[in-house]
Amino acid sequence: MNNNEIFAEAAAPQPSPSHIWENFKEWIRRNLKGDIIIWLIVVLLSLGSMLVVYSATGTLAYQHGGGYPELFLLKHAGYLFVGLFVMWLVHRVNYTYFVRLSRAALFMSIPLLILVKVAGVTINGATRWLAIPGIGITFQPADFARMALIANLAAMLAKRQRVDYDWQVFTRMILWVGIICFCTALSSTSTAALLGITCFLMLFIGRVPAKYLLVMVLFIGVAGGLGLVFGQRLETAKGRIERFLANDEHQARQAIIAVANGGTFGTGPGNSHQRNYLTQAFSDFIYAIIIEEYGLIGGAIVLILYLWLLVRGVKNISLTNRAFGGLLSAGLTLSIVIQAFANMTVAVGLVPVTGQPLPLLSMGGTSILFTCVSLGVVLSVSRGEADESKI
Amino acid sequence: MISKTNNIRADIARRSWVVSSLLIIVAILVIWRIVYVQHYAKYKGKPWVKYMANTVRIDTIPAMRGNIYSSDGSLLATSLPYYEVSIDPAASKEKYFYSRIDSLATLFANTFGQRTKEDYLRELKFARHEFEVNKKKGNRNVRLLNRQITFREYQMITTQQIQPSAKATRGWPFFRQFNNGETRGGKLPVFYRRYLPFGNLAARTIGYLDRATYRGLVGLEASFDRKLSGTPGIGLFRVLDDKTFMPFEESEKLQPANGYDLYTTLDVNFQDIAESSLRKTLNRYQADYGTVIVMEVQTGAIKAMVNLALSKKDTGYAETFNYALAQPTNPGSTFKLATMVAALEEGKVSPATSIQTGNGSTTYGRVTITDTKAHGTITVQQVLEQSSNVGTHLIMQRSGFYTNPYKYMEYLKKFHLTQPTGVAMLGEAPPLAPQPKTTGWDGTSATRLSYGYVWEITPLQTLSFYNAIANNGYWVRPMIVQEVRNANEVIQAIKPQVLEQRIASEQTIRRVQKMLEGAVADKQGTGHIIHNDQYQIAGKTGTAQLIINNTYSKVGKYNVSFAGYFPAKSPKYSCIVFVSHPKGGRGDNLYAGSVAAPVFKEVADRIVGYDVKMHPPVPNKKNNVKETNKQLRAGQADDLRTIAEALNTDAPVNVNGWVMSAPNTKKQWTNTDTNPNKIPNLRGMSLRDALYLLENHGFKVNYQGMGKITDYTLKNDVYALILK
Repeated sequence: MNNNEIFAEAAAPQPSPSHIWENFKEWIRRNLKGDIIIWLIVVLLSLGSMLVVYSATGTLAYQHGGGYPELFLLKHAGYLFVGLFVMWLVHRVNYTYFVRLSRAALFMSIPLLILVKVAGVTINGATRWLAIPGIGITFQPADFARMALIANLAAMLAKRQRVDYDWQVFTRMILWVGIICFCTALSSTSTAALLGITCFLMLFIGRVPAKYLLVMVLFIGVAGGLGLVFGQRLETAKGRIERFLANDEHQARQAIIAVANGGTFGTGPGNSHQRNYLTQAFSDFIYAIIIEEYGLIGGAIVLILYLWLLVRGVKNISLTNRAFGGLLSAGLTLSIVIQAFANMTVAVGLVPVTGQPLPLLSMGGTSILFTCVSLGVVLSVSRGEADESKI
Repeated sequence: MISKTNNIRADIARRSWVVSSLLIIVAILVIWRIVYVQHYAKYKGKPWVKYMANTVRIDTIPAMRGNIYSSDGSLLATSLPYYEVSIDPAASKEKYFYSRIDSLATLFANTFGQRTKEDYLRELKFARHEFEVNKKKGNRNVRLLNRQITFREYQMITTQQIQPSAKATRGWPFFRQFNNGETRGGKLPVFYRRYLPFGNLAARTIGYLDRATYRGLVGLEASFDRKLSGTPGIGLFRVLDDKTFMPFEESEKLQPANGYDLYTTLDVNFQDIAESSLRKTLNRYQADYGTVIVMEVQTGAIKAMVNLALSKKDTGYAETFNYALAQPTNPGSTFKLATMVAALEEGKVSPATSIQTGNGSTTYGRVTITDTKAHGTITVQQVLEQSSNVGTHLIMQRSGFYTNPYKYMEYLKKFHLTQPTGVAMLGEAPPLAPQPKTTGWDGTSATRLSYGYVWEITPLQTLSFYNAIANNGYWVRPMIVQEVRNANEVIQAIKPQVLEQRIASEQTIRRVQKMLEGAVADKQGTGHIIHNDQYQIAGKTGTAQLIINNTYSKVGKYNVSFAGYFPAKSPKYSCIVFVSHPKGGRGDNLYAGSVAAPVFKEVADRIVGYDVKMHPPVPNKKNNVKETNKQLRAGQADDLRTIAEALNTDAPVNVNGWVMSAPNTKKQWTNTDTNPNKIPNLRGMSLRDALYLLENHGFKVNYQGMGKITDYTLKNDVYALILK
């Protein structure tokens, strides 16, 4: 649009509603590349998260924020805004650039994960965060490592689509998966387990023969087990599983009460009762609060949004010429959706308590940023313009 | 090549749909689980939703009860915090408990001495053991002391430093508060108790509280309970967990509003004077009870209200019931004043009218009227002064009150004797005042009423009538509270209520005032015993036979009283003294003149001595000024100038700061503070100036004597001053 056009538009007497809508569509088309549906899902989830976080932080605000939940809301909205902006930036970048970047990131993530063990910040009894010096922001190196590993794995799998697998070829992949999962398990068992599952599914999608997958399962199991034993979280994990089996976990019980209280249509926005009892109402148990306030219907909508996201992410496979883009997109969406399902199954009491936030919906700044970067990459893939031959 | 790529892609796509299907299955599981939890799942036999905890807890936040002050600002009643001391032996970790329990037991045993250390240890360790062995069974609230502790003791327990270690720990073990305000099991819940700084003084007038509800039960505490108690806050709390309650935002409106302070008209000194005088007499005559009220004539402000009754526990006299306000009795002869005012108003007799009382005994219908002695022929004036029953009866007859008792009743109503005074205190007893042709009234009633029987009225009622006479006929409602304040803000200022209409004509009032003066001043007056030359008292005695088992008792059982005012010429205070059933003799040594009147005099004497405003100004004689000028004077020049101006003595001229007059010379003043590092000459200074000077320079000061400093010595930084 040159200057003349701008003036011409400004001079137009009264733009009709349909005109505005056309302009809006034009603006979207020009600025938001890639799968518009994914954009839509992200926006819906972001708006939803504002509602739920505002309601769920009332208690937190009283305990730490001097009684102003608005402060938490503003902070959360800020993170969402930055996240969406980062997502927009990332989605304009050709995803093939991330391959080289991710290799470096993978090497970096190992010392970071070990650093967490040594000098991490403890939040809610788990040491998973690293403070970035000077700006007071903490982040989970596990999030970082996960992205790096998925991107690398996608690249490695893509290269091996035309070769026959032998142990040597397979070992390199599985070694990376093992190392990262082990290092992650040092600080967070559940994150490591989810990453293991995601990688396994990626390997399956990436057409790794069944016998190798079987070996891998064994390997991950052993590596994860060792991580547990030598890490800090064995007792927590053991206790949680024991209490889950005995239905003796206070938080889980409170979450189930929230679910039960929600009914079909929920108690309405801001009317959650159980948020006062769930210390992690705004994060690990946010899905329980969603069901309490918006009922089975609201819970199902959130569930469907994530499934839809998965479907759109997987659909990218058919968009790309080569396997890398598809695998990258499928892997990243899978990791997000699996994390979401981990959160939701915990909230409704299907599995023992883990400390997984609900991507995009939970409060938690840096976790949102990493999710947005992942989705930005997925969107970049969905543009379907990249030439993968040079990878 | 292309087909292979397509095959690969298709295979990847197919595999990813397999994975997606797995997640869809999980999604279905989640939905199923939600439906199951909402409709079918049970936990310990109940649907999950039944386990929802109570969210809202209503707590009242007690408001601070206001204080009660005397008119001079002394604190009469206030609330003090007391604390109960107990401990939850299961609240601390095992290591903490066993390493510190010994220290705790020692501290409590040594400091309070209620129980031995071993005793404490046994109980606490047992309770802890019980808790460890079978949870929840042990006593989790072990009382450590059988009394509540004071704020000082509370401070000691919570802040005393036990170990002088580098890591300063304040407070006794288990009781020290950590950053979150929690202790390791020590509990010190607060209870407020009402405290009267002056002890028994006016205790019944001030009143006391219901122990359980902390609301006023009697006295001013009850009368002004709503003002004093404030409004307790109602806190709506969201229960977050067992320990955290989050107040609802709306509840800010329900913050407790602290009670207002009450400024009474009572004067601690008056009260003290009245109480000690009455107590002396009660003790001497072993009377059942007694009461004294002192009231300011023009305002009706009650300056003292004493009620002393013989305690059943044989612990002497104490303030247990407000007889002054709530015990109507036959007033006796003090009531003759009302009859006299009515008769004079009726105009059938005048003070000089002669009345033949004869030999002091007569009959009228079925009543036999007797005087204590034969008065013979006396004037109407003397009838009241000498308190003749026969004379009063004859005045009634002459005034036509027997033929028309309603006329008499009308006067009594006008005198405010038929209804309560309306003082702002709960519990005022209305007078028992039967009217003609009603129950309790017969043919003899008018006669007996005229000299103080039949009706029963309270001492306050009688006093307010006498006060009206003193106030030139203007009746004033007694008042006891002059201000209700919220800190320094005056919420309610209570004005004296003076009736616009006189209760009787000015002439009548002047006539009866004379009679009341005569009752004390005249040698034949019943109150002559208290006559004195310094100032004049006007008043009337009252001796009434006690009613025992519905009949008047035999001789020797009386209620005696003296009502009056002083100084007689320009009345400042009215006062009534009432003593019930003084013992220790028969006949006139138990009469009002012997028992009640001396109390009145003592109270009046001491009040006159205390109240400077009542003294006539002393003329400043030339001679005095000369003497003063000769004296050595020292102090701040400005202060001395002010004093000199008021006393018309020589003022220091041309000097400033600390100065002294040259001894024995006129009009010569010298500065004494020429060297700022030296203490000026102290001779001639007042103690107040000297203390200010010396203590500001860091000296300690001893002194003896009264007056001005005549000599002083300095030894080891201690000044010894001699005052003369």
